[in-house]
Amino acid sequence: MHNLLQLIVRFSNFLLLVGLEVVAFIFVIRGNMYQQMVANGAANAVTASIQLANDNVTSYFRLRSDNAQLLEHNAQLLQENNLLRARITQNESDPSRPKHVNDTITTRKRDDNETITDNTFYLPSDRDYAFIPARVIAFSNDRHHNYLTLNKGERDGVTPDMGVIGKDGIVGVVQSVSTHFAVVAPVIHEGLYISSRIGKNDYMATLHWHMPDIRHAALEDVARHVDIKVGDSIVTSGMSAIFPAGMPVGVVSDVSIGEGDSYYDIDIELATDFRSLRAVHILKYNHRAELDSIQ
Amino acid sequence: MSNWLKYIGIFIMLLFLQVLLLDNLHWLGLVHPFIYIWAIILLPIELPRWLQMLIGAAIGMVMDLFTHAPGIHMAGCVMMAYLRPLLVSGVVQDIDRMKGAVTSDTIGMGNWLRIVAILVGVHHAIVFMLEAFTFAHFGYTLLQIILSGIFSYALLLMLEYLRKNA
Repeated sequence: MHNLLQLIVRFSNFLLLVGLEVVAFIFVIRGNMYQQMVANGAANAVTASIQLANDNVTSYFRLRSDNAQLLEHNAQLLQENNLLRARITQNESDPSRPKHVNDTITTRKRDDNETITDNTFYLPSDRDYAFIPARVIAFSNDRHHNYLTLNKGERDGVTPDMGVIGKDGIVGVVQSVSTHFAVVAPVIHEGLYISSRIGKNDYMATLHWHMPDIRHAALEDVARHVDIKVGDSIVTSGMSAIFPAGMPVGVVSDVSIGEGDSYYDIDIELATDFRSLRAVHILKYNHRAELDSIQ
Repeated sequence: MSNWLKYIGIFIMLLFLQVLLLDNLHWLGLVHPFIYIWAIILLPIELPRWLQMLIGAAIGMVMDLFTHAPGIHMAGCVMMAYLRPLLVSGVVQDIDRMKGAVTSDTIGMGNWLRIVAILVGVHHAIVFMLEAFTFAHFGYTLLQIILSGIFSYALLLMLEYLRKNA
């Protein structure tokens, strides 16, 4: 017994080392749980506040390029708006149009007296999503598990598992939130699998990213018989409430299949360029609770 | 007491440099230098070794908070804090009488260069391998360890030079 005690005392430093390394290892393996824990505490708020202060200074240097990006996005939206407007006129002048379509639109129209909160706007669609605009205040792109920090949090109605989109396409999924900030797992995160489909034939597949190329990801589970070519667009499947169907994910940049393989190796050029990503929208699915309660 | 205030001041400065500057050099891609580990190298050597390891763990955990990746820097820093007194006792006559930080003044420039090289190598190897958590792209991880290690080593040498001439 005495010898054992002596042995423990003699190796106490080594035992402490092993103990601490095991604790660290458990943290690594159970990463998400720890992150949730931290996110709910003050720590996340402190680190994000520092990142926000940093962003407030450095964002001035990017104003010009940010502005150009927003103008471009604006032009796209104007174009889309024109297209939709043209379609409405077309529909209205069409006498054969079913009456209930118009009724649906009027019931969805917002009351004129009702003020729309300045940071949220609504689009009528089969699935109602609210868009919460946010700014990327910190990000990483050189790791296996990258992250984005956004300047919107619980206070703004953000909760985990909400989708995030940018002007070019999907960005990621909210992982954890604090009062003022949200941490997002972007598409370039090895733990994220995104349910997608091939735009032209609706074939379902899974998008998964691998370190280190942040412009490209792999499309998995596409069987040999499927028609897929370079240049085909890949969009979200709409199979989850995270993203609505048809949001751009990327474009097929390379397709190959080995002799005797039953699945393609497909390389996708991602729609979003994470190096220049600044303005994003968080998607809030309005019927989430209802959907969760029956699923 | 004032020594500890100075130490905490240096740690906060290092943390700001690390988080605001080095963690934002996204254009470097492969290279991600870590200089906050200077705080571990500067820990007073006369502290009990268990305390050095606990402080190392705490420093690593603070860094983990900023990178949203729990445990990774903690593992690297604890190992550094464990190895540092062992390495120093290998080059110093009587470690029990040594006091203060591990610098080129206290252990000599040659020893400093050797010990810091080992500590940086061990820390970076643990951090990048835990981050990858797979041996699938081991070549890439190895390249990351080497390139980032060289960068960090050069920056630490610069900091040591600045300290000496401050």
